[in-house]
Amino acid sequence: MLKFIVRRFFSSIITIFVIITVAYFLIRAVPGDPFSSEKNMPKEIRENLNRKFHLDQPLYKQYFMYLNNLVFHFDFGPSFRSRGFSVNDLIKQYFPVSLLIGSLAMIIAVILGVSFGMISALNQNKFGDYFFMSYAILGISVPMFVIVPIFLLIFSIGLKILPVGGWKRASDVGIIGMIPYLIIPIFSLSLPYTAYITRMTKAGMMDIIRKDFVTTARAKGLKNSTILFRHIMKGSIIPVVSYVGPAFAGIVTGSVVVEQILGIPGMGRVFVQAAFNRDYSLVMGDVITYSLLIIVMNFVVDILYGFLDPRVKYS
Amino acid sequence: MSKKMTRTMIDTEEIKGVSLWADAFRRLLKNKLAVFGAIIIIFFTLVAIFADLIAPYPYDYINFESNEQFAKPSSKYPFGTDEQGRDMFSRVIYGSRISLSVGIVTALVALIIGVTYGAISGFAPSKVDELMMRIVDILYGIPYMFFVILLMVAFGRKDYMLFIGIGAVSWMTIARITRGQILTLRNNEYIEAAKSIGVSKGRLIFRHLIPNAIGPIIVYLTLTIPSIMLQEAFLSFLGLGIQPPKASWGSLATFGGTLGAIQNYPHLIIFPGLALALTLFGMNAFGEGLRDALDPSLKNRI
Repeated sequence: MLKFIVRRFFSSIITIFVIITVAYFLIRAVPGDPFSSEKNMPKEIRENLNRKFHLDQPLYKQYFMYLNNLVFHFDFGPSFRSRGFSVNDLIKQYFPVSLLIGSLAMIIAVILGVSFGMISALNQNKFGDYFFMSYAILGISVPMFVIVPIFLLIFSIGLKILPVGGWKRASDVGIIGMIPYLIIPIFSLSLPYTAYITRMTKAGMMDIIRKDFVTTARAKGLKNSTILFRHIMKGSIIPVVSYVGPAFAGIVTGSVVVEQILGIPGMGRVFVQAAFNRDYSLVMGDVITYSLLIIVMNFVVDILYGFLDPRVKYS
Repeated sequence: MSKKMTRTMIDTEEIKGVSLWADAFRRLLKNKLAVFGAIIIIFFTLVAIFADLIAPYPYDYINFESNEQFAKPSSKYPFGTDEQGRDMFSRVIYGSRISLSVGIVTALVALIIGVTYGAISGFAPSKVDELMMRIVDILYGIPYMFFVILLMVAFGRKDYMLFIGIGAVSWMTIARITRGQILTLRNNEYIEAAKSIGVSKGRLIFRHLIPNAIGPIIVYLTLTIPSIMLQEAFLSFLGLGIQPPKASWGSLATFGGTLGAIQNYPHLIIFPGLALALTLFGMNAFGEGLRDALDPSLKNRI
């Protein structure tokens, strides 16, 4: 077990290193520099700016400088576009918003997905089953940029019970005041993952319902609810745990669209803007933060999986 | 062996043998959702092929005579018009061409890379195999969508970059499946036989192993196409994929996907969005039906 954790840890480190390196050289392959759109900039100012951001140094030196600052000082450097702000400042400002939406969406997806999957498995070939299984295919087929407008059209524009996008900070409206602004982003983001988890839970339960130990439990005369929650549920949830890692990556990506449409000041929206503006350092910071988040998530999930399922052998 | 069983065996011998594929096809036809999916796929494929005949206007036609921006759906413009006064109905019809071709071409790119990589890995000595799979593991950890965005920004928003970019990140699962199949197949006797008569390694892989490993790969491929189309739509929606005046279903939604447009001109996002959602639903339903049909033991699994 310990050996597995150590090995898994090192492969995570390598992954992060590969990400940083590839992202760095890829973004530096972009033709034009961050200041190339400012056509009337005097030569001297441009040279000064280049010197300030060390763009006049050889590429490999810049790369090692970047790596050094990042690893030893957790410093992503200054933003090339938002003058006077460091990338760390910007991430600190935008990241909590995305993290809040993402984690809530994940929680909702797990709760709803597991419940739907159980209903589906217990009512096999009845209405509930067909309903949720159609939903499961539909959920992965409808793109995020269609889900969000549909929610908006129904709840904000039609029924007028939710605000039309936008965002309020907890410091301005309190936590209760934030809820109306959270509902559409959270539910749209969780929809496709609810669909996946529904299917996984159903598949897991169908497998376990047929197992001998369930028959034994029935034969012993245990209550149905006891069998369901004590015997069946535990086994059928295990595959869901392993899915949480990849799902989290997907939710993070999906939040780009959600934030873009609803005008939520999160990392996803900033990332797209930074990519368009060629704000090298901000794009790098975003990619690395996202990657770290996803890698840590996968790492935790893999270890958790081992604790939950004793059959998993770490080799 | 009981009498009954013996008789069953004899009975079976009298029945005409059914090939794996014919048997799968029969099961597929029984699955209503899969048949429905196939009908949707055929419908949109025909729309894409005959777009020139169906669409009332060219995809980039702007009527400068009259000012008809943001027209609501009407008998003249069934899906309304966009911000430039172009007919949305025609644009959604032409959009099917790009959306479907991106999905298919990119999936083929992913297929070629994935099968080659997976087959080599599965057939290589275990040290090389382990190294190759480690590399895939590491690549798996990368949030690739952000890299595709970087790629599109770095190398200009060219259509072929979209194929390469998404293809380059979609091959990994295909590689894993292929490798798994090869590992189970490579110890079979007919492989031994082929080896013993001196068949070359390349021929062994491409003539004997891959054709026998193809079932699950085809199934995964049919489920990869919709997921690639979804990624293309995601990028195009953000303005990083297909560029105007060309239209994919994703890029058509770009303008309609702003808060103001959703409130005032919902037809701009509803029609391209529904076309895409319907197609993806069809493909996913068909792909899953195909999987269940080819290997019923996998039914209800992810």
